[in-house]
Amino acid sequence: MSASRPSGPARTMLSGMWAMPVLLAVCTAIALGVGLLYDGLWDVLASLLLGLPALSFLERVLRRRR
Amino acid sequence: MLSSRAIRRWSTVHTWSSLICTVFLLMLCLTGLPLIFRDEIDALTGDKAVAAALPENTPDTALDRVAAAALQRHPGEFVRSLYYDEDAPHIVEVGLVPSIDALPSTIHVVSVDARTAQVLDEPKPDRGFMYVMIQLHEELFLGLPGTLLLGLMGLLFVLAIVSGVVLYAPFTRRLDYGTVRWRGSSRVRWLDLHNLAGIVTLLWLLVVGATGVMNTLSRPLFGLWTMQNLPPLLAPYAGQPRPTHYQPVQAAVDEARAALPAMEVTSVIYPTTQFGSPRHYVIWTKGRTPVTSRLLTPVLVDVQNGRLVMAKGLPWYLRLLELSRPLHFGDYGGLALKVVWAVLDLLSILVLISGLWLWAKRRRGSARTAEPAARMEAAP
Repeated sequence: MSASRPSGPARTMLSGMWAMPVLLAVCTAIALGVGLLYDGLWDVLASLLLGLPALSFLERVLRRRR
Repeated sequence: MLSSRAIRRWSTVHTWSSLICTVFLLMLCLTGLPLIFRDEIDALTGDKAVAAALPENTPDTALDRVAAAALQRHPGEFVRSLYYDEDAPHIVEVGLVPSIDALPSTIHVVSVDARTAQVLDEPKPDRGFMYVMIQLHEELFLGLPGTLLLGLMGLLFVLAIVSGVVLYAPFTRRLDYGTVRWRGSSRVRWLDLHNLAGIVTLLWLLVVGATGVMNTLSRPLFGLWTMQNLPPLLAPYAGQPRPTHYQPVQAAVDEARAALPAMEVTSVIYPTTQFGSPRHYVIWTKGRTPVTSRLLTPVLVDVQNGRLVMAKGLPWYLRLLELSRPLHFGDYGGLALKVVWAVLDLLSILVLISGLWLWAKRRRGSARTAEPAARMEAAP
């Protein structure tokens, strides 16, 4: 297991310390907003977006355990 | 870049703000879990009244008949409220009290069919599992002081989140996002899990924490609004006895509907000094869109002459409070959103327990005076 940063600008951006947390916070904000403002399919979108932080946590934990 | 002195200061803020509120937050997260699914649990365990099957276009009868039907079951009592439950169509829940200004805790409900004025059910006051969960979550069985204490703990929690974000950078700057060092010491592993769970749920935690604090101010804020609005309306009646004869409640509701045609009536509070007006029907209405259905507008109708005296939206601080409720409860997007809400709640429990574990481990390490290797590994 290596903790070194991957090379390549795209991977660096996504694996950087802040990029993912900011992305997840934006998803959370959109999820909370659209869920509150609209009904129907927007609620499904809100649930999916709000699920991303939990999925990201799970992915990181499972990935490092492998 | 933070200096090591600044990091130590923020670390102290984070440690103590978290420690003080952790037990309360753990209790709130645990009791909040069943409350997320309150409607579903109620539907499974409760025996809610169901209105009789009648043709779809059967009109509602006058609310006065509905109130009279409930009173017939309990002669000598007083009607405090009429409430339309949106989950139980065609049913009006009539709240009865033993005296006109009795405390809200004495209210008992009679469910009446809004079309036939037939009494359907008298739900027993809930003293079971969900009641305990609600009491713990809202006021620790302590009334307003308990609610305000929880609000204070919520503020500390928000401070813990903010200080945690400040500390996230120095503690993870040498690592990729989401690194969990499984091969490190247990302290390092828990620190990584704490950081990861905390940072992914950051905004959700902040929103649920801040809206929770807002909710604890509900009673004082509604009290403030009453203090600002009622005295000018009651001033002309100074020194006069309380009215004993009321205009029909149906006429008052029709008046409110005519004044606010875009709104839907949700409840009526009869004259009382307990969260109402001693001389008015207070008719609560709400909008029909996803957002406006969360925003209530009160209409006050004089009980003696049936004249409408006030129909205006609530001030900004109560609007903010009303909008903060769905963001705290997660009840605005169906079952899928509730499930996600529950998963995020479980992650919050992980953040709290891991934080507590890290603190205990660190104390034990300090007590032994030997500098654990973990501290070196975890140091920024």
